[in-house]
Amino acid sequence: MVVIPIAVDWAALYEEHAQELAGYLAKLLGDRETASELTQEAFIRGLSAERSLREPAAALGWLYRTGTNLATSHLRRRALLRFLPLTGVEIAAPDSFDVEAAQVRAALRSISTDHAATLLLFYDVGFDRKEIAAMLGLSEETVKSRLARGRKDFLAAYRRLERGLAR
Amino acid sequence: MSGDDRDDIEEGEVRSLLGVREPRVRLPAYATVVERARRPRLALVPLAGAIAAVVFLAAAGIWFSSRLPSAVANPTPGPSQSAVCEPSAPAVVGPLSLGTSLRTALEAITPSDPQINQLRWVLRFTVPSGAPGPATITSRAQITVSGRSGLHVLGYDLLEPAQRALGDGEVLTVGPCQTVRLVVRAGGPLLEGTFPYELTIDKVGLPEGGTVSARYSLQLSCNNRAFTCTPVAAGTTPAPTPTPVAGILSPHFGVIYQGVRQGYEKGSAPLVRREGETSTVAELAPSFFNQFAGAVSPDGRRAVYFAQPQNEPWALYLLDGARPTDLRKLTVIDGEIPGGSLVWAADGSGVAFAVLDQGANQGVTPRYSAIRTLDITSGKVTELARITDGSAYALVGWDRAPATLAALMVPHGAPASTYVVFGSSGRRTWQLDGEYSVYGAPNGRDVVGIRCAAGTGCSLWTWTLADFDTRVDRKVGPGLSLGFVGFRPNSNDLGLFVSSSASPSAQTIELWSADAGRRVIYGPVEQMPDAMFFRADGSAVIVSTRPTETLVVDLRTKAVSPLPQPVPSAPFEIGRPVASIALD
Repeated sequence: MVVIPIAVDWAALYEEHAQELAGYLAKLLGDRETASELTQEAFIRGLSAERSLREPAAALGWLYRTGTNLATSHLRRRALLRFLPLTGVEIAAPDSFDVEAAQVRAALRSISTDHAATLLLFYDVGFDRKEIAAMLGLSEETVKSRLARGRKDFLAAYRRLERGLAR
Repeated sequence: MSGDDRDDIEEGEVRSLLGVREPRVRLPAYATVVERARRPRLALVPLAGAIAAVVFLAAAGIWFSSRLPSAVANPTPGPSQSAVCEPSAPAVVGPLSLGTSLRTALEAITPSDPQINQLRWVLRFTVPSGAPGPATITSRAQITVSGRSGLHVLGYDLLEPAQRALGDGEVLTVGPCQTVRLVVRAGGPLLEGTFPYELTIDKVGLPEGGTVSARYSLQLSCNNRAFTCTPVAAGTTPAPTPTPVAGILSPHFGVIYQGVRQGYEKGSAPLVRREGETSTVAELAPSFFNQFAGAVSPDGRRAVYFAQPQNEPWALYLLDGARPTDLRKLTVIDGEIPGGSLVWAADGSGVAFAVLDQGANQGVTPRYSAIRTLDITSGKVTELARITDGSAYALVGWDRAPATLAALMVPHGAPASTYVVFGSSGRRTWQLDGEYSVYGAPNGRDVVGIRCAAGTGCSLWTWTLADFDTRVDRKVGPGLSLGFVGFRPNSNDLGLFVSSSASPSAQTIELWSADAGRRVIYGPVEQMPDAMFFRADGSAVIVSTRPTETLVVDLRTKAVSPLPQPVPSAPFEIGRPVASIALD
């Protein structure tokens, strides 16, 4: 049975943070449709997980952690089943042709998902190291090292792609 | 410049690149999400269920590891340990020596549980009794396949001396005459076939001092359906490609495959191979993503496609089946990007394509979208229409004789809103009455639209290219899910992938026509094929059932033959078949 918890104001969380979470997932995945699906899925799991979410203040971090885990699994699965529709009007996706933005996405994809997620949470979403550590169940030191290593890997990958080199 | 300065610059650059503005992601109203949460969750397909389970376990691993007392992280020798320090358990790789005394082995790769689809790599580290000190193992691993980044590491567990979850980067101490066994949990397997895998533990501190990496290399044969991986001897010959059934494959036709990898180097671009052969007939112009963005002509003998060679603008190329190795550039769209699908004129004399300004990248509404036509013989390009309200054109069909071209107008970040026809008497528009997937027939006359709604299934509509008001609901029946396969060349048939809510596992590929109704041509199949298209003359349908398996179904006899495909050098190097073209 699904129980809607009273302690967490999910409607307000959705109103204030769903778009931000979806934007983060879109960058991590390079795919807005899937980002929308996974954002909804994270909220659905939150709505269905009353017991693990008694602390309203932790709900946002919980959502980001759930979203990150969902995205990680999705990326792994997508490596198995890569498919782009190439006939019919469904190909109309201008994103596919934007080389610069695609290079950012490709560079993010070429580093470990853990590092990509940490970079995005810190530099794009704006969480601090302590918040990310609590969210992902890591030490602050690990977050710091992921940021340092992720930055270097990401920039190296981006520059390789800029020069037209495959990974 | 100081190190801090360099770090600041690096941080600024990363912040700038990652801060690229994203278009808004479309999200439903909160009430819709609540409604979805209230629905029973047992309707998940098995794969989705497996993903959910993986996520749950990964999250649980993090939760447990963050709450375990830190003392457990550094096991100490127990009283029951034997004086013979190295266990005699069998190993898949090793035992290997690291430094002068540390011994390690990859004991097993546990077949993954189909419910969670994970591989468990069991590692053993033993320090002999006379070692000068303890070893340290940092639980951080990478797994590569064919030398490239491969399986995703999901987490770590300690098996011996105690069973518990390990945190990422947690350091284990292995004292003299002590054995530690740990598990690296990885997503996978990836793809059927035999490939070289290598697991690396990045950081191992040796008893005598110094730090090394521990590497375990082996050939694994994985089965993606059984969710198992089996070690095989190095140098094992890969499984032979399937033998084609005589009389079904036709070397007169080629199959166009997607490129196998990103980048511009030789061998990356989309390819053409003859049916039944694994050698390459022609390599198309390269583009960074190497996806075949093109369309085959109505007579099946030519194809046009967009590509962007390195440091060059996007260009439109012609692939002629009679001269497939000629890379003929038809036109260049300097400062612009392709705007989606392109369509051939019904008589094969020209193509129409849509472009967007180059600034129309992710997060930016296009300044304009234009429709252009190109005469194949003269090469003359004519701009037919341009829109500057942020929408983009998506072409549907073109019949040159009565001068009729139809397109959809797609507002930025939203479904298509308008059907527009350009004809000799001007421009007509219709507001769409739902979300259609629209497909124009090669004859330049017929259009098919599929509309689907949760709960009621899909409906199939047809209309004439010039007039959206002529649309007719073809009443295919309730509760059907429909996928578009294609218009069967040289016939009035339409290929559809059909599944019914009444029997979801009985999915079939069918031919549909107004006069002959529905006919099953292949199936039932368990899941939607990765690719489905007709042979260029309509005599067969080609179905990619899984990444390494493609079948050709003869439509006259319904006989089926495998299509031999080259063995990929890495599991992610899949050149998916996408279209058929007549070669001679």
